[in-house]
Amino acid sequence: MLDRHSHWTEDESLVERFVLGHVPKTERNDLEDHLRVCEICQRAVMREQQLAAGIRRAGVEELKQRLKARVEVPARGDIPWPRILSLAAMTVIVVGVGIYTDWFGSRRQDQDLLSDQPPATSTPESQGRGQMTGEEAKDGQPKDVVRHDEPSQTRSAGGADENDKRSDVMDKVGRNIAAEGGKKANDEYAKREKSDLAIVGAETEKNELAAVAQGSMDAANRTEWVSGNILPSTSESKTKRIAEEQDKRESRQFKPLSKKYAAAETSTAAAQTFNGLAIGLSQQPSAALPLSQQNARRQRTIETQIYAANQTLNLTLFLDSLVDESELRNAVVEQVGGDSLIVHVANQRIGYRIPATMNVQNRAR
Amino acid sequence: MRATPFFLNDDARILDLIRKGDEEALALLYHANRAPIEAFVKHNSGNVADAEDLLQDALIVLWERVRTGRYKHEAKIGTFLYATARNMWLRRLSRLRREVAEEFQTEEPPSNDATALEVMIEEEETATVRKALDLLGEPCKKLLLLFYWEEHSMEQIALELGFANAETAKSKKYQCKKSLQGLIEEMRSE
Repeated sequence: MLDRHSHWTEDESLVERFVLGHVPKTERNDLEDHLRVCEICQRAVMREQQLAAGIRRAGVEELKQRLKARVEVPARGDIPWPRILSLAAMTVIVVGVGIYTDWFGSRRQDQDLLSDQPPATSTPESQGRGQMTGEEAKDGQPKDVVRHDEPSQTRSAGGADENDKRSDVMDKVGRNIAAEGGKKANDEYAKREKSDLAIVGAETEKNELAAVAQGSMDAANRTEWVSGNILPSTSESKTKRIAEEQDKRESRQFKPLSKKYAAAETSTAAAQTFNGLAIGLSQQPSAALPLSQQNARRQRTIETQIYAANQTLNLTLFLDSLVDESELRNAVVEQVGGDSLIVHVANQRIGYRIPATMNVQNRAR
Repeated sequence: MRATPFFLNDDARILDLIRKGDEEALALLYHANRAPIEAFVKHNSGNVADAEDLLQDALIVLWERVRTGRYKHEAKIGTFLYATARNMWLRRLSRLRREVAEEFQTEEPPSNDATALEVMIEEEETATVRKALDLLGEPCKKLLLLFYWEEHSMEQIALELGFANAETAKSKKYQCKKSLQGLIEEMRSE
C-alpha cells in the first residue's frame, strides 16, 4: 500500500516503469489513486510522458524515413521523363556515331593501300584498286590473276571505257580537290578527318567523295569494303559439280572460269555473272591491308574490296596466303538471291552480301 | 505457379530479423503485402499514396510490438499487417467524416478529445524533445531510443551497446537522460 503522504514520483525508476506500462496492475491502481490528489506527482509523470513520447516519435519517424528510402520507387507522375529522354537521345547518338564510324571506316581503306606505293606507279586508279608488293613493283605488274588496273582485252569495250573514265575522274579530282563542286565533299571529309580519319591514304575517299559531289562519278561506283564470310568448306568435286549443273542449265549466274578462259589469265572477269554483271576476281596479300582494316578483321572472314565499273563487278580478295593463279581462274561464283554471292575458290566458299549502295541490280543492261 | 522467396513464407525468420534490428525485414514485408492493402485502400476512398503510408505505419506497429516483446504470433504476419492497416484506415476515415460533419454543425458538440490547442502544445513538446535528442549525440540517443521506444531491459541494452553490465548501462542512461532534460529546458527557455 502506497503511503498517501509521500511522492512516489521521487523514485525515478518507478516513474519510468509507470510511463512505459511496466508496473503490475494492482500497483498501478495505487499509483493512479495517488496521482489524482498529488499535483507534484502529476507534473513529474507528465514530464516523463512527454520525454518518452518525444523519444518514441523520433524513433518512429526515423524508422519510417529509413523504410521509405528502402522501398521508395518513383510514382507514375514522378518519372523523370526529361532525364530518360535525354539519356535515350544520347544513346541514339552514340550508336549512330558508332555505326557511321564503322561504315565509314570500312571505306577509308582505299587510301591506306596507296601509302607505300611508289609515285611512279601511283595512278589514281591503281591507287584505288590495289597495292603492289615489292616483287610486283619490279615488273610493274601486281600478281593479281585478274588485273583491274589495266584494261583487259576481253572486257567489254564499255567496261574499259568506264575504267578509263574512272581513272580520269580520279586523277582530275585528285589534282583539283578544292574545286567548286568538291567543296562540300571536302568539308564533309575535313570534319571526319578531325575525328579519326587522319590516316594514311585518305585520298581516294576524298577524291571519290569530291567526284560524287561534282557529279562526275556515280555514288554507286564508289569503292566498297566488304567482309566475305568463309562458309563451311565444300569439296573440289562439289565445286565442279555445281559448275557443271549450272552449265547444264545455261545459267548466266556462274560458270567455271577454266572452261572458257583457261588460256587467258586476265579474261576471267567476263566469265562470271551476278545480276547480269561480269565478275572480276583478283587477290592481294592480307599484309597489304591497311592497318585499320587489319584491326577490324574477324575470324573466318576475307576482307574484300569491291567496286563496280560499267558492267563488271570487281572483287579483290585479301588473302593470308595467295592462292595459285589457276585456283583463281577456276573459281566459281554462285549467286544467292538478288544481293549475295558465294565465291568458290581453292576449296573454300566465301559468301558476300553486296552493299545496296552499289545498286548492282539496276546496272545490268 | 508463381514462386515466392522462401523466407517470405517463413514468419519466424522475419520475426527473428526484426528482433535483431534488421530493417531489411520491413522492406521484404512491404513488398510482399503491398498489393492487398493497396487494393483495400483504393476500394475505400483512398489512393496509392494513402496505401503506401498506411502500410509503412502498420509495419512500424509490427516493429514496435516485436521489439518490445508485445507481439503475439497468433496469425500470419501478413494477416496482422492487413488487419492493422485496415483498422488504421477505418479510424482515419471515421475521423475525417467526423471532422467534415463538425464543419457543417452550427453548435459545437461536447467532445472528450483533446482540443486543437492541446494537440498543438503536445506536438510542440514532442518536437522539442526530438530536437534535443538530435543534439544529444548518437550514443546517448541510441541508448534512450532502446530504453523508451523499444523498451529494452538494461541487460539487453548493455549487451547491445557493449556496456560491462546492466548497472553501467543504467548509470549511462541516467547521465543521458539528465543531459536531454537539460537541453529541453534550455530550448524551452529560449
